Amino acid sequence: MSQEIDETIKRILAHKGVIGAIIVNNDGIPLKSTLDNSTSVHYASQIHSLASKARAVIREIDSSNDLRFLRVRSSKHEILVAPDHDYFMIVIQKDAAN
Amino acid sequence: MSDSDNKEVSSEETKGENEEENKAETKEAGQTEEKEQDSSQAETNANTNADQATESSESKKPEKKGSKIGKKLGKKDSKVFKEEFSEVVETSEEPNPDALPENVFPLFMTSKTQEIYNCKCDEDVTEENPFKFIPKSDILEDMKMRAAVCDFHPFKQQILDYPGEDVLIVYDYDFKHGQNFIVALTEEAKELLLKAPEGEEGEGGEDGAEEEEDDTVYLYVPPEPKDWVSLGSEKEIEESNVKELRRKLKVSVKRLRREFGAPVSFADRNVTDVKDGAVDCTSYDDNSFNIKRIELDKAVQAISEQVTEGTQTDWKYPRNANTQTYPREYTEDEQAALLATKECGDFVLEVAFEFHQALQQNEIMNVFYVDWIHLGDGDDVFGSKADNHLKEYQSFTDLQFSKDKMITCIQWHPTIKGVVATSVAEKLSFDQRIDNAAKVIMTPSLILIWSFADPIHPQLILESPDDIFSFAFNPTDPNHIVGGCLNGQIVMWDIAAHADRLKQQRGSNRNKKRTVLPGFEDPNALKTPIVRYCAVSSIEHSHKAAVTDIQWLPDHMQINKMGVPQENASLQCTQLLSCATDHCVMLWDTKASKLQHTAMYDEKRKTQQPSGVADTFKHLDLTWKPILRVTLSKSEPGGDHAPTKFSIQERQGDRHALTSGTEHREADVTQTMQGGFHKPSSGKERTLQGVKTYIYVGTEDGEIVYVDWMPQKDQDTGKIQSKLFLLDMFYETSKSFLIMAGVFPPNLKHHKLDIFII
Repeated sequence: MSQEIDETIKRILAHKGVIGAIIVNNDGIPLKSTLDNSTSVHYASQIHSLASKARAVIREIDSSNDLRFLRVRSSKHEILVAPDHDYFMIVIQKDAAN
Repeated sequence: MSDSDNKEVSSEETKGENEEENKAETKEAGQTEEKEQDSSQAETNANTNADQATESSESKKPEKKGSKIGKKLGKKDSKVFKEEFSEVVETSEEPNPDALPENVFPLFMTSKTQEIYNCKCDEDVTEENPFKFIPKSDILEDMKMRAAVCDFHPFKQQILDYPGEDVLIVYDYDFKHGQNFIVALTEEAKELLLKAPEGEEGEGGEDGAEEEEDDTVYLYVPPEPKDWVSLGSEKEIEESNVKELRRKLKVSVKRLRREFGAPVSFADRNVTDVKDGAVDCTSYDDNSFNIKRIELDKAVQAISEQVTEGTQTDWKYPRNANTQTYPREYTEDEQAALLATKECGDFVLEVAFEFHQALQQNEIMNVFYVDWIHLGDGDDVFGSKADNHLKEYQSFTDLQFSKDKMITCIQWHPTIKGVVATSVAEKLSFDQRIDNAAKVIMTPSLILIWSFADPIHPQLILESPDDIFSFAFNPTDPNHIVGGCLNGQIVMWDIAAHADRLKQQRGSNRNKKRTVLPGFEDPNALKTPIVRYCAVSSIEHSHKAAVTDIQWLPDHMQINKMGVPQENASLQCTQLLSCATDHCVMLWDTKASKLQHTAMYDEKRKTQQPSGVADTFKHLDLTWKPILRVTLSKSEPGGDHAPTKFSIQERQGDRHALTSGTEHREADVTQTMQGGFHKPSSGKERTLQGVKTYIYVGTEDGEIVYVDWMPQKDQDTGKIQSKLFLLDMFYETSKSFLIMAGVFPPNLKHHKLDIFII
């Protein structure tokens, strides 16, 4: 299993502009990360709350709906978040066009 | 005794002599009157001196004159003396520091006497210590011994009567009292002298000590009660007091006993029967209430509210609190264990696809890229964006002629490319022109002809009598230029002589191709030639105001005196129209009329033309009259239209009028109102039928009027005058504007007009 995870992550990282990827569990503790510890912890905590809030928004508007993917575009990066019930995964990609 | 007294006295004072005489005379009668006298007695007995005289003279002077009798000898009882002295005390009690107290007399003591009594000056008695007590017995002995020689002799009696044992002698250092010693002859005097030695001592010598003592000793003198002076207040008190002036009266009122409780019968009484039967209490205006209190003096005092309050606050002071967190972390084993779970693996595989999609999207294109902002980025490289506005290409200024002047009109040369003519005028308003009339007249009015090749020097300068406000080149003969002046005159120039100057384009002024021999150079070769006008119109017949617009009539037509447009066989522009603010449009002809022509030949007036001026238009000079005059009159009173620009339909170069005239001939009948006509052609010139004889004129008031230059016979009055039509459609909008230019498009069908309004 972990092998597959590694492979997947490798493929993700192969994309142009990708800086790093983090897998975080429900409590916001990073499980696997390609970035250094402090950065991944930082991202994990921030994104965790953001993703929860986003999910709550979607569910508030339509309770049958659920958050599937979250993209936060900033001037320098794009943060891609895929939430799940137990885990969520974060990928940071640099602005490819520039 | 008296004699001896007299002797002593007389030796000292003349006054004493008088008194001695008096004394001698009134010796007997003196005693009884002594009492009446005051210190004069004492004086006569004692050695009189000026000082004493002052003391006693104050009270004595008035008596002296009238009291010769009163002056008496001094031999009397000491009691009398004392009484007198006491009187003296009462009357002359002024605290005169210089005056001696009573019973104190100045005494002169000779050195012998001083020796006897051991009171030598400056030895026994000094300034500081002037007191000396001499025993009475010694004095008496001395008197016995020396009798009259003794200094104390005058005081013999007093010494004898002296109650005390010692007689006080006070050294009078300054001779203040006339002698060098003072003797106190009574106890009181002695006391006085002793008590207040300071004053005398000070006078005698030590002024400083006296002053000090004066400062420090303040005696409280209680005020003495004075007699009450009535000012009338007791009368008030008396008035308000109740006094019994008379005995109290007793009145006893009785009634018969049997009448008490007796039946009474009442009867009516008419009010009017008896005088005073009724007493009226009429109301009356009580004046005491009439006074209106208009002004009240009131005072209000306000005090601020004072409230005492207290609060108790909870003081929640901020406390610095810190929390430090550590993120929870899994150990590597834990991590590995979690990752190994199936759920995690499934999750990752699931979401991987999403990621791929998103990442690819980002790779392909940036969806947030804003094209609009970066639209012109590429162009920045090569200069700024295109200019839509005009850029000045070249400017023509002549420092001498066109500086500070305004350009009133500008025209292209009809044939030569790159040549423009501008008319320059003074930038002055009408009033300013009048003010500076002398200067304005002197400065020449010019038309400058420029060539593009030379922006500094004009090629040609045309001189005119007055400022030109509009001018035109003759389209067919560009050497003829006509201009309209400020004063209404029309001016003509002929520049044929300088035409080749204009034709030369490139820097011709300076680089002459021909070599010039030195010495034969023309100094004026480089200077711009000035061409004087060759003809001006007659002032009487010209416009009366500044010519605002002037145009040559197209070369294919000419207008005769009746306003009929005719064909111009010569195809040369010979006629011109001018309009001015004197409400007129005038038609001028440059050809010499037959009359003029003959006149010139007949008279052979070969008047000298100023050098350099062509004589092409000599026939016109000063006698030029307009052929036709069209007045723009308003239908309502209030001034006529003042034209600023005009336009006629016919265009220079547009010859179709020549050809189209024949076609319209049949349809003329119905066109009377439109400006057509059906007058048969007369004379050899063919009338042009298709020409609209209207002039569209823009006026100063912003109106556009069109006038038929051909005077029509007025139906009503029979007068021949031009009809004026007002373009109503423009009236409202352009009312406040000044028409500056109008162009008549060569469109016959429609009365369309391009109008530029300013």
